[in-house]
Amino acid sequence: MRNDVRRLRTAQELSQQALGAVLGVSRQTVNAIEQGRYDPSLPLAIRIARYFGTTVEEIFHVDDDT
Amino acid sequence: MSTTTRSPAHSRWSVLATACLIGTAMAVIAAVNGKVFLAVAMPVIVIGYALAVTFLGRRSDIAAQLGGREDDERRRLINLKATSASGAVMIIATLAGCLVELARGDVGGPFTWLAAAGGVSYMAAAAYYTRRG
Repeated sequence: MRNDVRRLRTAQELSQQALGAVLGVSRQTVNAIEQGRYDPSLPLAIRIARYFGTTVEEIFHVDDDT
Repeated sequence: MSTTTRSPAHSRWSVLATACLIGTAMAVIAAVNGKVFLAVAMPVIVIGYALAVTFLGRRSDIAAQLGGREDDERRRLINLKATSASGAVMIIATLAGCLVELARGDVGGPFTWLAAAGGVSYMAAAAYYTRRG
């Protein structure tokens, strides 16, 4: 699943470590989400969306072929 | 809606503490049996492994995982997948041992009991998690 977490994070000049601390996850998990290697759970996706002041659908995009 | 449970500090030190206990027990048992080399080597390996995963866990994702640091949902999912994969290997090995026992006419041997325990515990766990969700 594609997502805009990296773009939103860098726009706020946040490190992966800092975002992970805010969300309660590890730096490696933030990196895995940004790389599309890990799809977060619904609660975590909602926390990410709330943190960036947007909606889950605005951040996470389901690939057409999935 | 929380996705965190155990505190990182707790899980970080629990592996090292457990390894120290097991390493000490191994050393004592080996020493009592007069096996001096094993009394030294086994705790060094076990405690060395625990020290490595404990202190490298902050930098290495794999070390953190092996060190029992299930800080978040992804690491818990990795732990579940890894446990499932190793469980599948154990099931295959147990069933192979069970078949060898049956071929030898050793009905009711250790592998048969292990297979039975595995099957019953899987059914119980499946029923439990089916209801709990």
